[in-house]
Amino acid sequence: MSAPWATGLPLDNTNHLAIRIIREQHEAPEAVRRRLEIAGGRNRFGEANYRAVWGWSRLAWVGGKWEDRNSAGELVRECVELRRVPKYEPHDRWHIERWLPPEAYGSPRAWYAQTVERADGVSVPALGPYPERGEYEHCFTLEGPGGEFVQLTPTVAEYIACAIEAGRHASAGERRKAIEERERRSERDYDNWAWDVLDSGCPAFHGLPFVSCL
Amino acid sequence: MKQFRAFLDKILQTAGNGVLGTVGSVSGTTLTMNTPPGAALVYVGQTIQIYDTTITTNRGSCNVVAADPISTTQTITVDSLPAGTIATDVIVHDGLSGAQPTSLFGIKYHQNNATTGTWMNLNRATYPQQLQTPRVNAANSALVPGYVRLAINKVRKALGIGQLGKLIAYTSVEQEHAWENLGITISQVIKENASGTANDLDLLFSGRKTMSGVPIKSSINADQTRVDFLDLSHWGRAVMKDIDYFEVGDQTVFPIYGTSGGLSAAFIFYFDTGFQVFSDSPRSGAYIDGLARPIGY
Repeated sequence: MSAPWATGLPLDNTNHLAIRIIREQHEAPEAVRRRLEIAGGRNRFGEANYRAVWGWSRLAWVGGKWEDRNSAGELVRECVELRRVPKYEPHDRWHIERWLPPEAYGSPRAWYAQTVERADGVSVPALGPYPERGEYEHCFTLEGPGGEFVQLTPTVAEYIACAIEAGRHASAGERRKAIEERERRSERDYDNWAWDVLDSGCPAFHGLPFVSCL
Repeated sequence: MKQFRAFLDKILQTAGNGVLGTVGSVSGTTLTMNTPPGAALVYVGQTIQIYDTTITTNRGSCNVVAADPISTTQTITVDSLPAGTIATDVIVHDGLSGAQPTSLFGIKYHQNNATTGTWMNLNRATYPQQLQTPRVNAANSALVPGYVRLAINKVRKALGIGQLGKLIAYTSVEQEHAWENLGITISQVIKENASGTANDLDLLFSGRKTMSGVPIKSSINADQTRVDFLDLSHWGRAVMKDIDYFEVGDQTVFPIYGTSGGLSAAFIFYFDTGFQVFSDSPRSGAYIDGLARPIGY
């Protein structure tokens, strides 16, 4: 095997070849950031409560045992470590996130108790280190009813942030009532559909004789 | 039709053994049920059987005359309690017999991290990794985004990054409510309007409610302490007989005979079907169990 410096590839100080993973990356336009900030305000650290992220660009820590395979699917190596990988699916869509405070994740002790996994005698936190400055969590994926791509615009982003903020002001009782009402409607709709299907198998006028009227 | 559909839906929440609930305490003919699933999987007028906790001894059958799946007490009342019924006994639907009966393979049958026993005739001990569904134990704490990410990441690690299928988050209305209470999704309150019809976001995009990007599908019959991430492309029904009215010589409605042997002033009809539910990849999903129920349930 030829020496790395002879191949012209970059070196890092651990003497491993540096591998750069190319992804389709995008940043939310300034106009979108501004509208989200106005709609949702700022958090205690002065950052916007809402932000728009591109699926490929939003990475998160995932810890555990990883299996790396070559193009033929053969196992190249196994290692236990933390890696930053895209957080949301689908990767090629815009996602709206909202900031959650660190207390939403419990105490650091509870965090590590819940997330640490052991593999090959090594302990690794499956979700990375405790989010001391809070974390942005997924609220909404921008896509059409059939899952098709929808472009991010300031109006769309603001609408989603405002809708979420409006819902936050509803009481727990109102939320429960709305969910129960939706379930009732869904049951009703299904019943109507099912009876229509059953009725469609019947002859006209439910089999009553046709009478000629002159 | 509604009753038949509800019954099938209730059985599909079970672990494939037809157990609809566990008795927490007995008072006369009233049984207080342990949650989950409480009294959610039984209905008034249903014939049920009571088995011991090991599902070996059948104590007998009875009819449900009242069921309360809404209040916190979760009680059911039966017409006459089989002798020997005690707390820890289980309720099984009618039609099953013998020890460890088999019913429809429900969600808890396929989404299970056990490494012993059998799954669709395969010995779990022979394929402990392949047949195990990734699990997150919430240990009676409230639903938080961390649990959801843990569950989804476990599937990604099990299958490989980029191999995640199209999941749905199947859960109870209680846990959907708990997720809404975190304030990071568009609340159903916003999606409803006064006329009682869906007021989905009137824009050119989907207003689907999601859990960390996974669409939520909730059910009144789902386990109140669980969220199941299902890749439905791996699930199916093996249908031996399509659902229809039971028919004998073009006749679907039958007379009922009274005790005298003469005709009674009543008719009866049946829906019948033959199917089993399967999954071809239990590792393609994940589940969170042991979740606390929100206040008020």
